Amino acid sequence: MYNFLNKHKVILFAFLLILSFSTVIAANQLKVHYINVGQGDSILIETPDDQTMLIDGGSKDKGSHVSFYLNSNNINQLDYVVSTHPHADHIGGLLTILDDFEVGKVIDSGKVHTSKTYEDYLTMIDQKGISYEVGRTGDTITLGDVNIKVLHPDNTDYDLNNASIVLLMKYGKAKFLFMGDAEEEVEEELIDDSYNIRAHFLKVGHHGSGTSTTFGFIDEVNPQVAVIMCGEDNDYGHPHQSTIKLLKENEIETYRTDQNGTVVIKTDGESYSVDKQFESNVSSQEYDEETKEEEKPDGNKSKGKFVGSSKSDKYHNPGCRWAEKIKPENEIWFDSVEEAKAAGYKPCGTCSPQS
Amino acid sequence: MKVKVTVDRIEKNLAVLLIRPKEDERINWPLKFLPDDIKEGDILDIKIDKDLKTKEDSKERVGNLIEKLKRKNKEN
Repeated sequence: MYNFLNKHKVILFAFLLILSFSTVIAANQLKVHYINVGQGDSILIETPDDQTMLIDGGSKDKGSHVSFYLNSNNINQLDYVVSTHPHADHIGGLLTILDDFEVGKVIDSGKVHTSKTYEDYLTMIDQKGISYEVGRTGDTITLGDVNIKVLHPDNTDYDLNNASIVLLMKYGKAKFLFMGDAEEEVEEELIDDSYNIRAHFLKVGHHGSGTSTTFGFIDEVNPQVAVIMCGEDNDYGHPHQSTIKLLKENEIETYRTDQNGTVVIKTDGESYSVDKQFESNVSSQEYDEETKEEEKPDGNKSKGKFVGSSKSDKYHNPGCRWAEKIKPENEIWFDSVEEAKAAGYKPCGTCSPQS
Repeated sequence: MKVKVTVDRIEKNLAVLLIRPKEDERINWPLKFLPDDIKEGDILDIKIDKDLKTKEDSKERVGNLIEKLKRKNKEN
């Protein structure tokens, strides 16, 4: 398990973390599930005394998935549902959730949006007689020993993303910051506000887009762990490379729902552990790809001067756009033109490889 | 036919349009092919008409090109 106090200790005990997964004791644990809903957000909070909160429900087509996930975690009622803002990738799935589960109270952004999805969601709250409250800066929600504070917004004069409800959750020493789709403008306001926004766990704003997560914000929050919620191969370029790079440079342990699937953080308020559905370690993967690119000239020297594919009879300069399309497992390397010719390979017409 | 959509959100260069009334399906529409003043929350009517004239003209041009190329090949 990780310790909140000392980052170096954290690294030293990284191996112990792996060993301790199986020994984590269930009692007194706060669990935060960053549910993989593809492109969208849905976060389940389970407190040590079994109170529950769901922040967003993913898009409409993911509602039944979230419902299934809650059921499989033996949850049959939700004390709170927070809808950060009215975009369909956050509230769509809530239609299913409000229908399938008994909900104590909905905390909404109160931001007007014209989609039928948002209207249907509000209508459902109305028809089912669910308690409704607009979340505003300074509001607090107490779930036993877990304290949740609304840091934003204080009005609706924002665009939809920036009208997102931002939550800071505290349990023991552990602090979680949930940014919804809030962008740079909100981050700046939060830095300027008197609130201490330092948090160990950051749900990165707006699916890791380039319009969120500034250097100044990361400096202020100083998280140990960042979670990016986005869909695999999404059409919007989420997360942005600049966000991944910033998190990497600040040595922040980063998880992505598109690569790690559902991510669950458990803490007793002193230490924490992270469970992921898929083992692929995202941030290091991204990093490796970047490093590979930077080191290409050196890396290629050791392999050979020209490259061909086992699937064709052409050989190329390593920098050629056709060479870049060759899958690593199909690469065949040559030290000279003669060697390539001897193997039956012909020079590429695009890059004209020459000794 | 007409399709009514909500501009649910704008993600950089794409407008995410939800097809009303069910909004079960979405279209990522390049922002540059929408009027300049489009904003999140706008509701749009998209009118879809078949352009038979352009289709016939195009068929004729392409057919003629194929014939021309065939003739050229024979002459060589």
